[in-house]
Amino acid sequence: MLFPHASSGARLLSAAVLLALLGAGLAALALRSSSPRADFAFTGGGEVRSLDPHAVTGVPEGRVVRLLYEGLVRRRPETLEPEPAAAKSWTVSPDGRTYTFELRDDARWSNGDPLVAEDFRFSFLRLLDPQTASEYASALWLVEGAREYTLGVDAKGVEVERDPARVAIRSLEERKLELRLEAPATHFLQVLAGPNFVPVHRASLDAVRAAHPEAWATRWSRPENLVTNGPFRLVERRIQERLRFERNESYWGARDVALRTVDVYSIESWSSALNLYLAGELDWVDGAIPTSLVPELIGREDFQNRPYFAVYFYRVNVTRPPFDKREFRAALATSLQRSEICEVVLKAGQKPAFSFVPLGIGSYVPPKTFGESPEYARKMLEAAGFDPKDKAKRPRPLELHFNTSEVHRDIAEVAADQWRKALGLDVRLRNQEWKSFLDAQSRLDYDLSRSSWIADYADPSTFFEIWTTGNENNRTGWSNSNYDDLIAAARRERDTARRLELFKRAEQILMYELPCIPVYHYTTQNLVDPRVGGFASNELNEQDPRLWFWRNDEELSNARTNRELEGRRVPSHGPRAGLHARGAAEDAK
Amino acid sequence: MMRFLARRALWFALTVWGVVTLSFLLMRAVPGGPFSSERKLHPTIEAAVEARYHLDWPMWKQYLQTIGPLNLDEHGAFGDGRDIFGGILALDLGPSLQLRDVTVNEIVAQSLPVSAALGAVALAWALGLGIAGGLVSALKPGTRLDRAARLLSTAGLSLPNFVVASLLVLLFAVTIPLFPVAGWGAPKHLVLPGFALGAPFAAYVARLTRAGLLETLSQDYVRTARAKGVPHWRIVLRHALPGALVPVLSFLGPAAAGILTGSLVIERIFCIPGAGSHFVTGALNRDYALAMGVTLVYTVALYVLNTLVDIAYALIDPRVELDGEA
Amino acid sequence: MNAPRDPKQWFDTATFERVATELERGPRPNLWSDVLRRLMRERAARWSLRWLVALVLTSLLVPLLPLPSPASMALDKQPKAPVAPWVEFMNERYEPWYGELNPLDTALVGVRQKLFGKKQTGPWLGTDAKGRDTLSRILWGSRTSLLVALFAALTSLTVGVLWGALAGYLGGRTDNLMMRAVDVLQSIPTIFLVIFLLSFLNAPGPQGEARLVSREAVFFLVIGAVSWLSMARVVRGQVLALRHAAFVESARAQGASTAWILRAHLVPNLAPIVLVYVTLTLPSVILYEAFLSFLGLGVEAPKVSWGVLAADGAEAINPLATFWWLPLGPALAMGATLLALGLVGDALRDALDLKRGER
Repeated sequence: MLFPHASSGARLLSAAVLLALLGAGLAALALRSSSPRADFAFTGGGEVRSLDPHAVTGVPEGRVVRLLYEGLVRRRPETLEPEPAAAKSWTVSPDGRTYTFELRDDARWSNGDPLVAEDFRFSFLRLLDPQTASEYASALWLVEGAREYTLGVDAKGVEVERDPARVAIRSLEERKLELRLEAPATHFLQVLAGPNFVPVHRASLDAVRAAHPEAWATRWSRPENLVTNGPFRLVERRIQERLRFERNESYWGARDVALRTVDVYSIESWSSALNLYLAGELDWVDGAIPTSLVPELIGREDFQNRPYFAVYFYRVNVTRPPFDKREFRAALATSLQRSEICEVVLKAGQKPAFSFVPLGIGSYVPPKTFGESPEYARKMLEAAGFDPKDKAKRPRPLELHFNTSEVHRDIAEVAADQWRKALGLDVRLRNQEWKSFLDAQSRLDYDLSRSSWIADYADPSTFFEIWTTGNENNRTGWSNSNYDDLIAAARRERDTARRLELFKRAEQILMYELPCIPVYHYTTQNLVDPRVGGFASNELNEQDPRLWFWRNDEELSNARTNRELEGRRVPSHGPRAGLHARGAAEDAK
Repeated sequence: MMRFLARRALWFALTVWGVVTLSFLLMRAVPGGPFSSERKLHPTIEAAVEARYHLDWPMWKQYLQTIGPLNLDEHGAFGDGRDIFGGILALDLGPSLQLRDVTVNEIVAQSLPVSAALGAVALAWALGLGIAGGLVSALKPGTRLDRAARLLSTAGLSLPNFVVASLLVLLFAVTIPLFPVAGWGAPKHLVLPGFALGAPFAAYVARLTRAGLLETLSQDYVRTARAKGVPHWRIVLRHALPGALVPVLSFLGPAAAGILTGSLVIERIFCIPGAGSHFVTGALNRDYALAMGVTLVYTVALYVLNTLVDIAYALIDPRVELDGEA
Repeated sequence: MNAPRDPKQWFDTATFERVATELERGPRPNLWSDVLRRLMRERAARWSLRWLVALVLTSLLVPLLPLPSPASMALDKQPKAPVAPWVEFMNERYEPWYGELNPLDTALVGVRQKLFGKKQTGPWLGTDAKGRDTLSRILWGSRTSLLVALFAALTSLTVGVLWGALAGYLGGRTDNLMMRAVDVLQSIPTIFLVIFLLSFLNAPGPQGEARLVSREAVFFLVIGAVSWLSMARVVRGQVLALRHAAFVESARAQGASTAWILRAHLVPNLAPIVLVYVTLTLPSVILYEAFLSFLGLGVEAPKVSWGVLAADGAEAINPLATFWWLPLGPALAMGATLLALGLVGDALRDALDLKRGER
């Protein structure tokens, strides 16, 4: 007999019931006290990697840094021109090398400490310190002595002592900071407006480091330890769920900040983000919209898509035949039908790219480069010594390398199809997950590899530096001394027009040599509740959270009639009565 | 019993060691590192950040650091002694390499209860519905009711869970707004993901119950009971069902380990901060510490639950001897 | 992941003791035809089997069918809705481009071109956003999914059965060690395994030469590597039970050799449960392929699989767009197949339940 004891059967059943009860208990435990919805909730994608402003790089991280911290200058959202932030004013010496910043007298940290020039000096040195491992340390190498400080070697490669005193950052007075540059750089303020060049609070950082030398990094960013100087402060962090921010009442401009609380959600799936947005749980979604949905969104008033300073391109491995032949690369570049990719695959108004650098960045106008012509492409292919009709002269199968993602796959499929139809090439696809992909790319283990580059600041130099010889982000094996010379000259050039001319000539070389085949220039894709005011749209997709407010009904209808909100009307989820900054509301009275 | 547990513990240690070692080797063998990114770091800076996480150490030292229990870095047992213990044996999984502000212990502590809660709900309903369905179809085998129940239970296993979950959201959150579309924090957030997560398990349980019941109903002791005139429902519930649930129980061990440690698909679609997604993101991001941490959690869960199942076996079936394992 | 991590199966020892006793009473030469007869007696199982056979045949012969190529695109802004066969039965827009094909398929496609020329079926199930025919993609995709399933079945049948039988038969410490190895393999993160195998076996040469192993092969390898584990557990449990069964003990007492015992008693007695378990493994493997495709680790475009189609289709399930045919086709194909497998498995169990059959 298998089972003689009926009573133990009852035991088993009761065990199942117990399990269910246990589950219910656990559920109650895990369903953490849910605080009410924040005044404003948005998502920029997945989990923010770090709250340390000197260690972060991504766009979502940058958005969080702008909530928490404030640098010397910021970009005005409408024009992207630098404007005063923590510094109330600055002067530039006649030789264009010395910048002196005067800090605001009322700038304070969230714990009430005054913000002083020394804070910035400490923070900039921290950013440069290799121990901080900031990906943006090199951006500050414009400052005299900064490069040596990070690398421990001078320009000739000789080892030097890493001495902070040799970095030309000085706090002249309590609230006066001086930075001396290696050479005049007209885009220095643009660089400084980036999210990495903000101060961190030394005393609290030191205290945490002293108490937990081994684990300071994981303790410092806890809400109870983190002291910041931006318009908001961190109050809660739930990993993979959300960050909760509250208005920082110590912030000098707190009176002009409308929102009291902000939630930043970590959402990996765009479809889920869309569902949450449509349900009114999110007020702004900034992300890669599945291309099949774009046509449904594009006519709506809450969908913003504007040109974005970013380029999608294919790297060409010039060390590998047949890509070592310029003519072959030109054949590939001129036979791609970019408008088909933009209109059929992407659909969100992306612009076909015939230059690496997008139009209009820092008033840059790209030179005339190549065009699309299948006949010309075939001629180039012949010039490279190939003939698709002749079996002996047919190029080997090519491989189009991209990282695992639906949209990259879609574009690659279409591009491969176009090359096949235009040139008779056998282009095969090879996708790899992100880290393997990067590894293969940096080892030059590819034929053609997908890439994109997003501007850090509104100046063309952000696009040109990567193609110089030996740059870590070149990753094509391409090198051209004329190009390097032009970029070096542009670095020193103080005259804007001449500088842009140098860039133009550099781009002509780049687009003649084609170590990269530009495909399209991005557009921003923001879904933002029509009731949200103060939400700028610009080519860096950069926001100033201090300016956000909720429109009341009257303001909403005004915005709609003033053509500020165009497109099909959609319901708004925000507070009907609006939500305004205290200062603004008082001024209105 | 004590001997059994002691032996189990020994094998457990061996298994965990095997998993950790193999995973360690596998992780270091895959290309790409935790700090590679589209914007490549300057070599000096990359070296500095790797040094911070001891990736510059020789493999054997990194391995010893992973295992523990002594911390080998400058604050460890051979350093200034401020932090002597570390590694798996000290239950310290180290800092996450990807989410640089948190430790793996914190990530596990925050996400595991979430997954466990959702998993428990899914298990509870999967067991309830599965057993009920299995009962119905076994009591009336071959009837329309049986066929319907079987069709339904097989259907639960017939579609990828991302399709099921997307459909559930569209139907019961968007079209008919009964439940929230996604999120976590209130009991209503448990319904749809719990259902989607539990559906395949309910299907399994139903099939196992049905098979087990058909089996036990033809057993001699059931026939004897029937001959004695015991009412049918009583036979089924008191005599047949418990025996029929034995295979369900053995299925439950590994199934519960899987369900309680979370599911990437369900968590991603419903935006649930559970542990399941770390199994994949840890690997994809080359977050060695996080990947090792969640692997460890799963191994422990699997082993403990399997042991519990074996004990439960012995409790219900006296013929099973725990010590008879070797 | 719905992969069953199921150690012991729902055939408990008692069934097999009974099966074994029956077999002992006298070999039944007609056992398998008996089982098949009983299987076909049930309508659901009958239809399921028919569906599966039809599917396998179709997927084998799909290059011969007058379908559009699954890879040829007609770029359009939106996916096109299905057109009923009676509205547009055939059109002449066939474009013979398939991407990489093996020699056999190339030959089959050649025959298709001779037979049907430029003719191809209309978009009966609609097209995707790149104008590719959904029906054709589902049928071509079935090949990947079925191949994955086949490979998993083969690995389960060989590695899984051997491993489990060996562990169960040898018993003792060896058994324990072998089973702990299964535990370990079950616990190590599969994603790493996938990435590892892809990066090593599928890496190109320094000048872009052909790869050692194709991506599909790696894919099959991974699936195979993880699918035999539960089979090993199940078989081991059964062998353990059979080893001590009366008839095996008596055979041993009579001086039968190990090989003979294996051949005469263990293998035939294991066959039913192995068979049933395979029908349970196949659905979970097909679903696992879908999961990998969801992560983007699936087959390489322009090749398709049901997983790829389901993952793409799942995206179309949203409140804004209404491309219902994109998820519907793959879901139906996949659902019907997995359902059929499940029903056949259930019926197989019933058919093998000899006692009930005799009642």
